[in-house]
Amino acid sequence: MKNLKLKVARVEKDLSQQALAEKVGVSRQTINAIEKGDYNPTINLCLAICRALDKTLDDLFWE
Amino acid sequence: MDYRTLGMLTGLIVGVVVLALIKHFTKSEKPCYDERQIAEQGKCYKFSLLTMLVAAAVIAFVDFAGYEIFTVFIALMSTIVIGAGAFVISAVIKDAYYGLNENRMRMYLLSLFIVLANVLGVFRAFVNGSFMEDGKFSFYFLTLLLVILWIAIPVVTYIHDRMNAGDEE
Repeated sequence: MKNLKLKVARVEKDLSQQALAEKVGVSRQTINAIEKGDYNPTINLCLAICRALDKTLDDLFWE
Repeated sequence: MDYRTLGMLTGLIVGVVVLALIKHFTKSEKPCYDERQIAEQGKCYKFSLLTMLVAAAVIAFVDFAGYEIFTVFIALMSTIVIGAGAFVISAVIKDAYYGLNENRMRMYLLSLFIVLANVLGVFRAFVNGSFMEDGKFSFYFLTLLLVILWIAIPVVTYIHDRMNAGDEE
């Protein structure tokens, strides 16, 4: 299932997938896979993404 | 020392020198992989192992069928090369082969060098008939497999990169 909340939060911050990937220390393809719902990140990566986007886990990863 | 050993030693020395030059002129950080890449690499290792088993079974089947064209050494090494190829190609397709910030130009140069260094030998073996010795594949068969693999890696990488260049939605 696509993670549209992550995508919206990223766009609100005016970040590209590459920019977000560099902020959290992963590849652009990994961010792309998370947004497309092809990969379930670990809690550590979820936290890093939340910090980079100033969001909570609930905001981005809870249905 | 016979000519074959001398040739192998010379090739080894030239290879080390060229690798050192490529490394020097294409500075790249030590490969570092993210969690998705490491997970995907695990799947690729599994795929590689299965491919090796299938390759070994095919070679054994060919042998049992009466076509004794593989020596034990060539059969073993062919299986390993095929397995390595399966790992690399599947990892490239899953975006798990190249680490973060890895310099791909290094791989392109390395592939070019390895193909150029080996393709002439394979071609010569085809022409002078040394590709098979006593009805069995000689070690040039392994060289051919390596050439195919080292052509496939940059080609698959290039095509995959081109196809995924604009996949950011």
